[in-house]
Amino acid sequence: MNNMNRIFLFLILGSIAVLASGTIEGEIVKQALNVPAIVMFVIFVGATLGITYWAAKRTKSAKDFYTAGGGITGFQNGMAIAGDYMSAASFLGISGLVYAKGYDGLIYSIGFLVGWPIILFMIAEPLRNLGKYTFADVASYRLKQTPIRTLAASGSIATVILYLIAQMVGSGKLIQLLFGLQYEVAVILVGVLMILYVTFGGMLATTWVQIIKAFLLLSGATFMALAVMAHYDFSFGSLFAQAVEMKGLAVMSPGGLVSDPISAISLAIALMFGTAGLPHILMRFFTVGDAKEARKSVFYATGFIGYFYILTFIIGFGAIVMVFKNPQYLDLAKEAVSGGSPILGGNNMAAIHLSHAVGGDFFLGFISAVAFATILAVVSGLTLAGASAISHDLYASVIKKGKADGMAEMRVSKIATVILGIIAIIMGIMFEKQNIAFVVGLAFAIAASANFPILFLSMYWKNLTTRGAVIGGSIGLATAVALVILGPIVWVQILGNAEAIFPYKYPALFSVTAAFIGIWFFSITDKSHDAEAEREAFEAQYIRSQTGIGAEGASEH
Amino acid sequence: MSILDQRKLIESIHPFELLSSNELDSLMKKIDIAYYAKDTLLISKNLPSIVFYIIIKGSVQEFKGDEVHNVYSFGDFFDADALIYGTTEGRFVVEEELICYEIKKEDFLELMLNKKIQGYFLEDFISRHKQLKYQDVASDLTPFLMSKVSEIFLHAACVASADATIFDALKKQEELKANVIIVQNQDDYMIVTDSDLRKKVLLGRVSVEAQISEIATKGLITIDVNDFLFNALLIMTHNAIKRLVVMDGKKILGVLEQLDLLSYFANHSHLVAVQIDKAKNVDDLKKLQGDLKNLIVTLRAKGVKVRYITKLVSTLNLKIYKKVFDMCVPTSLQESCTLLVMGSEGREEQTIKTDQDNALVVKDGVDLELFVEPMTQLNSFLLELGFPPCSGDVMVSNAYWRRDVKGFKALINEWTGSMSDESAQNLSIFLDAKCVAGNRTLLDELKSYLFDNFHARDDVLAHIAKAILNFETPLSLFSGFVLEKNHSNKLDLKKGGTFPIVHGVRTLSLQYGINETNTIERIKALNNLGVIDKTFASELIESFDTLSAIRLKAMLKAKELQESNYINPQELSKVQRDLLKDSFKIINKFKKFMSFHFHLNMVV
Repeated sequence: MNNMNRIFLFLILGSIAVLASGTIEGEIVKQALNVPAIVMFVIFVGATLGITYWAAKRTKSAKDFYTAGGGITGFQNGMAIAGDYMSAASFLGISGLVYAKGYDGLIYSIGFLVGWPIILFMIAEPLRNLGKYTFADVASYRLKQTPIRTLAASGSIATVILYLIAQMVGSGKLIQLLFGLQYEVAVILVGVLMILYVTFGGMLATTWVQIIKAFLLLSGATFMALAVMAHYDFSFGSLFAQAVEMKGLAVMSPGGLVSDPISAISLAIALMFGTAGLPHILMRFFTVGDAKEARKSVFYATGFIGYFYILTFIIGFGAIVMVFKNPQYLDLAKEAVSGGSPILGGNNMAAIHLSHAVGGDFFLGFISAVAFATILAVVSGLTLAGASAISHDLYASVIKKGKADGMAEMRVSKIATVILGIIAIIMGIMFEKQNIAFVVGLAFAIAASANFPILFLSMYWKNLTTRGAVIGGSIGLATAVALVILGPIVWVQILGNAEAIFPYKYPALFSVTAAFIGIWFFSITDKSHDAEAEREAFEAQYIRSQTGIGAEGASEH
Repeated sequence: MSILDQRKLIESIHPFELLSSNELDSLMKKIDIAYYAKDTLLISKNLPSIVFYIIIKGSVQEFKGDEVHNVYSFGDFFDADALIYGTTEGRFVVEEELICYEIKKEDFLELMLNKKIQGYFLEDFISRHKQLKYQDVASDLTPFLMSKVSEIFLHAACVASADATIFDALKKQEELKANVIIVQNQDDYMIVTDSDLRKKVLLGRVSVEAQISEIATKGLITIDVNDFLFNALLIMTHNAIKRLVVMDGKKILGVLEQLDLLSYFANHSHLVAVQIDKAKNVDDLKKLQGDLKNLIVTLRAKGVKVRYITKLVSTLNLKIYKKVFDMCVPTSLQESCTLLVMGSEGREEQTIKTDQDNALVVKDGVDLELFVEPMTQLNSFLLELGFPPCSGDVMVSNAYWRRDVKGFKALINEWTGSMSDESAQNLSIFLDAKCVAGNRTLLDELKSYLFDNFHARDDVLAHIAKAILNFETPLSLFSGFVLEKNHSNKLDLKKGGTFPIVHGVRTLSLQYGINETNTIERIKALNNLGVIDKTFASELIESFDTLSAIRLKAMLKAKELQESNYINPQELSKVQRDLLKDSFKIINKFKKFMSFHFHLNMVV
């Protein structure tokens, strides 16, 4: 692993060197290079990787054979979960949303946060007790493997791809802004880096990557928020007053983003239930020692994430007062064409500009590096989860009927990584103009519609049968995907049609409902012999999920 | 220089010692001695080589172009390539007055008919090296293997004079119960085997009244009574014959049969086994301990694969366990309990005794107290027999490892639920449990309970599996060895090599409910289940073999137990170093596979 780490470090640094040199020779330079920021960026990315390597190594004791068998603590795991969750979408996207729409951005923050109690109370502990960490594993515990895994893998892959797109857009914009590359070039470079990171860094202790990343991100965001607040003597009143002065009263009231109640509720449902259906978050419960630590880790994660969203909110308002209309950050070319006061790199870059406004080039480099490391880390977790869904659920369990050898599965996983990377690059380029928090919202919508209902019902509803889960889950997934495509964003803005067939931006309200109804209806009408057996198997599963003791063990106690 | 001295000199030069004594004899007859003055040109492009030179005194320089390419002196020989290929690029010039043996080209080429000699001169460098390695192993021969021919049982030789009739000779053979007839014609000996009789008398219709010499085969292969048994084996193997006539000078002493020779080597272990069975008390067993170590050394020197040695030694050790069990546990209690050996003993991978891990399972409902006394005694007997105490106190003398079935099930539940270091370690030890005495159904019950418990506990399995990543494989990015400075630049074979394989394979076996305990058997079982493919399975087995072989050698050499896992790669031959590197590469591949399989990147 030592080797892998080193190779991977070489590749990352090498690629960065390529990036940098590309900018020197390139004719496509869009703006003047900020050399100090770039130097800081390279140093910090290198340092982050170095610290991660060191931390991962430090946990390896060279003394005894079975040391560190205990799993990481709830606190560490909470930090790691927060690291996985606080993606580029959260940091760049939400601060960008707040910057653009003011108060409305808060809906996202809260929605993302509310998903946590659901995980805490309903999912984390049972999952830990069952010893299962992917949605497919839980759902196929008492249901039939092949159909369930096919469906589960499809849902997971759809979620992963949408989530990946958001990360690609975020990092593409960041690299574009920092290195002055063309957006497409930036996205391709990030995509290639991502594939390298996952294939060669796959052995890296991702938990430690997330912990360190979360720490750096929280520190950076805290500094920015403090700097903004210090500017206003730690008074929200004067901050908001200044914001209202610059952008008008609209920033303090619900507005264009979720103007109608259907969109608002739809978004809320997606964000609340989606979190529990995210494949890479579920896997995080793998790490903890026991159910108590699982619960504790969610508790800590909720704390970190809540704190983080408060910070992004302040950063968003900070950007309004310090970046908006600041000639330094204005995209003059764009302003000349379409008016308004667009900032360089689009709204998603508000936090990045703010970091420059409060901390200069040095801090800009730092925040960019942290954001970049964040993206790489989240992307690696996501890609691994997606590749695992393809290799384990689709290839090994479905195509090979459980007869695939492990090496072949591993190869498929690598190929899947590359394919996912390529899809992410292409889609990342297509979604350039979208707010990344919004794209993440779509990913959550898919997760909430396709994954969450089956996950939830398989653990808590006795009558769930394979038929119900497969048909209902497929309805949820199909509805969600169809409504996303037919909705205003993809149908109009990306595919260029005149009018959306489905009028709402967020499909979750409809698709989640459809999924639940479908599952319910096709389960209770399932009178097959298998269905009976599946209902009977519920009790054993339920006991195990609640107590951690297998039914055979329970009867003996 | 007498003829005998000359023969010794030739024999001391590799690869000529590979020749049988007969071949050597005939070679000696063909050898000439020659003298050349300084600056004589011996071989060049235009002066084709007609003889093979072996230097007794003086030196010869080989030039390629104007540069000195090589210098040959006492004991060196040249130039095989010139003889074999008929031409050479080099010029061989006498540097100092030369006295040398000469073997004519035809004779040399005839010599080359011997596969070993041929191999030596034709094979490339690496395989030559391998042969040297083989020699290295052979040179570790213990006194045991160095036994003389005189020490082994010889069959009576049936010697018939050349003019005896076949019938008389056969009658004599029958009387002596000999397998072959040796025909003496003054000083020359010939041989008549059963196949000669079959081919020539029965099928060839030679009359039984004809002279025996008519059907005898010339070229009797003999060995001196003072020669080593090992050489006897070599000669038989080289000549593909089943027997040797043993000579004392010119006198025939008897016939050495291959069967006897092999059973002498192999049945030494059999002998130990019988002695274990016969032992009446601990002292009898104690006497055998030396033999066991000897056996290991011997078998290794014979080039027996380490996995077979360990298996053999383990079997013998298990016999000792059983014997001790019988001595300590009253017959009435023997069916109510089962004695387990665990860890490396349970995996049958312990050669040199490094540790003892054992446990006792008692039938539910039988008073555990009854076993306190016998187990304490069993433990003290084992210590007396030189089984080192377990540092972690995993021994029957410890109540933790002496439980009834219910007690062990409770322990298994604890292991399933917790992920502490201790649980992982104890579980790992228990996983290798093998029943040596008593009622084995008790262990079967526990094993199936264990597998049921871990069925689908991917999380706990991952936590157990991650121990394989606790140590870096001592191989650098550029395929160099990573040595430990505080261990005098050595590397730890166990941490870096065997442990990851053993532990990883063990964890996979737990996941798939594989009952085997031996690592190689487990790998095969995993392959059969389709968990790993055939190529990878054999790569793993080969690597494990290589590591075990190198480790065994180090252990035999090490004076202290703690140091026995450390080896200095510089002390290995080039071939072994390369094998070791390859093994480490396979281990890295295995670690990657395990990381993927158990999602280890999430748990470390």
